[in-house]
Amino acid sequence: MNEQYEPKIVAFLCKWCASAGADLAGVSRLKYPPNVVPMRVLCSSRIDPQFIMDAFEKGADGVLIGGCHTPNDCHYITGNFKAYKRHLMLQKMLEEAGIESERLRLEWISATEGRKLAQVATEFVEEIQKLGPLKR
Amino acid sequence: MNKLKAAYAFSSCAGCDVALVNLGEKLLTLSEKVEFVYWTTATDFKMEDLKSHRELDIAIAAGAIRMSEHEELVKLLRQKSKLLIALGSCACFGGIPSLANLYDKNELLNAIYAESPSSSKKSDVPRPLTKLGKMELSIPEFQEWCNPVDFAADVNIYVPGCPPQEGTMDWFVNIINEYYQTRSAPKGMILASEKSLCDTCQRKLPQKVSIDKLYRVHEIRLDQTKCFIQQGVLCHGPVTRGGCNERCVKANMPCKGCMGPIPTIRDPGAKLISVIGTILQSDDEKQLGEEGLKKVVDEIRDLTGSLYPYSMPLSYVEKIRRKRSI
Repeated sequence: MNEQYEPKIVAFLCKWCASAGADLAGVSRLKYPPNVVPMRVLCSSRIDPQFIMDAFEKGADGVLIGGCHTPNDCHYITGNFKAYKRHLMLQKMLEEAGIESERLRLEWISATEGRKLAQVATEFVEEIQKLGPLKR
Repeated sequence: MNKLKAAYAFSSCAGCDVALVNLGEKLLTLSEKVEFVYWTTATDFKMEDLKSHRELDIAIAAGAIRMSEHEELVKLLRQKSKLLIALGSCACFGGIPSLANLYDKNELLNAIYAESPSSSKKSDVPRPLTKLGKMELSIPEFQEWCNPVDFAADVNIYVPGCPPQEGTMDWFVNIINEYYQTRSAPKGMILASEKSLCDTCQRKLPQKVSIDKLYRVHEIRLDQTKCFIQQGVLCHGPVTRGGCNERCVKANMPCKGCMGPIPTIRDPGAKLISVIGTILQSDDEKQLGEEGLKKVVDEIRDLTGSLYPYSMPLSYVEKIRRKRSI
C-alpha cells in the first residue's frame, strides 16, 4: 500500500457521552485526523447493525462506535450494553465472512474524555492504514 | 385462444417441481391453457428442444445460478419468453446453495474433490475443458458466486417458499390464468405478504424478554405455545414475509426465512443481530459485565449461516465480499 492511502472512517457517537467528548476535543483544540467523520446518534443502542454494514458497503474502511462507559454511565440505563453485544456479533459475522473484524471498533468515551477521543481516532486511522482499503 | 407455451428449467433439488405437481387437479385445468414444451423433470427434453422454439409465453426458473449452464439457460429463457417466473427461494434469493458464497470457489472445489476423505490422492478438481488428443471435452463451469435468478435476468414474478406452499401455488395459478386472459406481464411482483410473519403468528411475544443464551433447535425442548424468541431460539419471523400459512411454526419449528425479507428491511441478518443484541441476557447485563456478555456471545455457533439460511446474496456482508474479490 502506498503512503498516500487515506482511509474513510465513519464514527457513530452517542449524544450524551462520545459526541460531547468530541465537542470537548474541538473546544480544547485537540488535533485528530480528518479521516474520521462523526455522526451523532441519540444512543449507541440506536445504531442499527444495518447502518454499520451499510457504511462498509458504501465505502467506509472502518467504523467506530462511541458510547458511554459501562456499567452505569448510559443515559438510557442499558443502551451501551445493547450496542456492546451487537458489535460483538457483527465482529463475529465479519470474521466468519473473511473480513478483518478490527475494522469495527467500539470505545467508551465520556463527555470529559476529549483527549481519549482524539487518541482513539488517531490510533484507529493508523490501524486501518495498516490493514489497507476494505475493497481491493 | 392459443395455448400458452411454457418452459420449466431447474437447477435445484426438484422440490419446486413437486410443489408444482402437488397442484393436482388444478394442474389438469391449467394444462388446458398451458402447454409445457420444456420440463426436464417431467419428460426428456434437451437444450436443443428449448432453442428450437422461437418464442415462449411463460418461463419458470427454479433454483439458483451456480454453474455457467444455469446462467445460459436463464438468459435464454428471458430472451424467448414474455413472463419469467422465479419459483422457490433459491431462484428468488439464492436459497441454501448460496450459503457456499461464504467460501471462495477454489476453497469449495478443493474441499470436495481433493481434500475430502473419500477422494483419492490422484483425483483432481474437474476442469471445464479437457483436451484428449484431437478431442475437446467440455463441462459447465463452476462459477465464482451462487446467484439468484434476477442477477442474470429481469424477473416478472417471484414465488418464494422452500418449497412454495399451497396458498402461494394457488396464487401462482391465478396469476397464470389472469395472464392467459389479459396477456399483460407484471414486473417484480412477489407472491407473499408485505407484513412480517409475526403479524399473523399465534404465539405472542411478551413485553419484556431476556434469554440466557442462543439455543440451537436440538439443544432445547420447545414449548408448543410460547414465542420462539422468548425461548432463546433464533426465529426469522420478525424479518420474514408472511403468507406461508406458518407451516413451520405450527409444527413447532422456528421460521428460517424462506419467504424472503420484508420490504422495509435492507439486510435481514443485520436486523436479527439487533434483535438478539436486545434480548440476550438483558436482565443481567450489569451483573455479567462486558466479559460475561462476551462469553455468552462467543458461545453462538455458525452465526452468519444461521442469520442468512436463504438470503445470503441479499446481505451486506456478501456485497462487501464480492467487491473485495474484484
